[in-house]
Amino acid sequence: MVKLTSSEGTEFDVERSVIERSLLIKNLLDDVGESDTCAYTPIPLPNVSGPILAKVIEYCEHHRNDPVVGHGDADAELDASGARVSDEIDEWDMEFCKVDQGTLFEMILAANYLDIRSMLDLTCKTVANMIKNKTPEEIRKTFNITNDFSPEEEEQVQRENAWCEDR
Amino acid sequence: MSSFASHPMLLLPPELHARILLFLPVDALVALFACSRYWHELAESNKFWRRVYYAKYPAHSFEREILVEIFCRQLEDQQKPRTELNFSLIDWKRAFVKRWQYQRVSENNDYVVQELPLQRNFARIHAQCNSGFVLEAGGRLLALRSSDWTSVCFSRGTPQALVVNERYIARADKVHHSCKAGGPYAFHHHCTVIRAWRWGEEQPFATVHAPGLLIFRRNMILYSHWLAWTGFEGKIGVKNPRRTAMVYDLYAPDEPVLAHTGDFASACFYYDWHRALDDPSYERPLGMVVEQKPKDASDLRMTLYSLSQPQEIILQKDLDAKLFHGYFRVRVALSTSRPNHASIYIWSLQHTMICIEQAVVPEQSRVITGYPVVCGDWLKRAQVFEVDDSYIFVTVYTRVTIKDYFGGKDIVIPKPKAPRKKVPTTRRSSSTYRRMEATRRAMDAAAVAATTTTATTPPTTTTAGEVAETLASQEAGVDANTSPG
Repeated sequence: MVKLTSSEGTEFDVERSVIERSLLIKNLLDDVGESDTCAYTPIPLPNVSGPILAKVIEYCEHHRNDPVVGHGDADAELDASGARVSDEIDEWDMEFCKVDQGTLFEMILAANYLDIRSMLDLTCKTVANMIKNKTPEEIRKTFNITNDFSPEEEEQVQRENAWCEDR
Repeated sequence: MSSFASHPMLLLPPELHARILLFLPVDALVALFACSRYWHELAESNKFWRRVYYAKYPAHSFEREILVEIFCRQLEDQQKPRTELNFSLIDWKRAFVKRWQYQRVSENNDYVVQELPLQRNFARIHAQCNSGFVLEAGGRLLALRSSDWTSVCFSRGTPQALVVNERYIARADKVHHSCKAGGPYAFHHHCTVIRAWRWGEEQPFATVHAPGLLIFRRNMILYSHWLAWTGFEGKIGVKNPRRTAMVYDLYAPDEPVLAHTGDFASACFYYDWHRALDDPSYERPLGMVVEQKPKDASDLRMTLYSLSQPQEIILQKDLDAKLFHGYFRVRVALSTSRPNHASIYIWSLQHTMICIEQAVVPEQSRVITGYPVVCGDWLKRAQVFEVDDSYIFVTVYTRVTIKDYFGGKDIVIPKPKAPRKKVPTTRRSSSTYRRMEATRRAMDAAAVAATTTTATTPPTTTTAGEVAETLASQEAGVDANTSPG
């Protein structure tokens, strides 16, 4: 078992095989070795809050048997035609990501910090899916983005983006 | 900056923004870039577009050529001299837009044909086609791209272009080989492009071929035959025969004209070249194949077909295979003095006449107005014979293997590449390593703190967290001080 401590000091006991989906933790534990240090010394994760750490652990437990995808597999998610597979999200994963935006972005940060590639991709895909099939105005509304273009700039941007119209 | 505070997505660092954007389709990307200045500025980043480009279109070997085109065009626009390709100087957004536009156009078509008027210009779209394999190039350099960009074929009438074409095809990732395209005597006004054959799919080979015939067998091009130097307007079609060699007629590509299943294959065709030039309605008169008998491998069967009516067998005769020793050549000759008659000659390779058969041929096949001109080294095995005044030959073909056809070069078809194994990497990026180090030091510090404090005091993670943050900030500071610039 491995003890993890969130930024608020909450401790979590996790099986080593589960949390090793995080490359950060895995490398750390590999370096420490099989000593008992990690069993008794909690690993502080100051960048991850308790609720987010709980989500991370939930994700890792569910995907504990999945193959680990590392940074070296840059093309791992490219299909035969070369397009990035972006729409395929597992049902459990979809439910897992049904959280408010703030939590979702914190999950992205946590996945990035802990180096959990599959979770990072999942959360990024979820955000991408929130952007898809929306007009700029709808995107602004979804993410609370302020339109700081002047009318002239907006017109200019529209002209620049004309290349993808008439699809 | 006023929008930053209320915009939760901006809590993420730019590299995570870029990661999210890689999952977006183009229209969503463009919509996002039109949301605010921040996103628009991100869209101006050449580095970002390079990532997008390679995320959407992973590198193929021929891709470099496309990028070269874009790069040269850029330099031309900037009135700069050409230099070596420098990928950092490429306008990646432009490259992406161009590529995407071609992809979009080709979505509803199997192929997009591009015209490459000059090397300095990026190809403009010349035509779109769904199944047209013979393209009227009009002396222009054309490129045919499939909708998924896995095949690319260039063709032009010049030998240089064709050599280039062959190289292009061979270099494309999922296209394995092509037949040499018509030799140095290909037509300047015709370009024949055949869809690429890929491993595991029932697609024909990729090849560029002057008008003529292709004979396939077991995924190999046995030989491709240059039929005429001009006048063909039809299509050529080839399919992937797994065990059967098939000869497809230029005029009727949907069905194989001739087929055999044996190890012996020799085909000969008669064609009235001059009449074909003058009379568009002229139909193909004769074709013959010698094949192994399906049920008796020891014997051969000679079949003479009418090419105008492929189902019609004019003559069929069994032959003694012992006489052939595996190789032979055949010819068909039409008689000028005896209407409706053709002669079929079969030789062994030792120039021993094995048999001569007479056949009654269709009416439209009788007119013969001249000799064919067969020239060039690559057809050196073809010969023109004149037996006497009453017979005129077209060509005589031996059984040509790939090795023969390529002048002694043995063509090795590469095996399909095994899919790359996904090996979990343990490589650590520098940032990962820093974070890991900081966390480990924090753990050590926490352990030390725990041992030095009283036993009743639980280890405070706040202290560890603070230590970790301090160390991390120190690391970052060191990095900032040591990083160039």
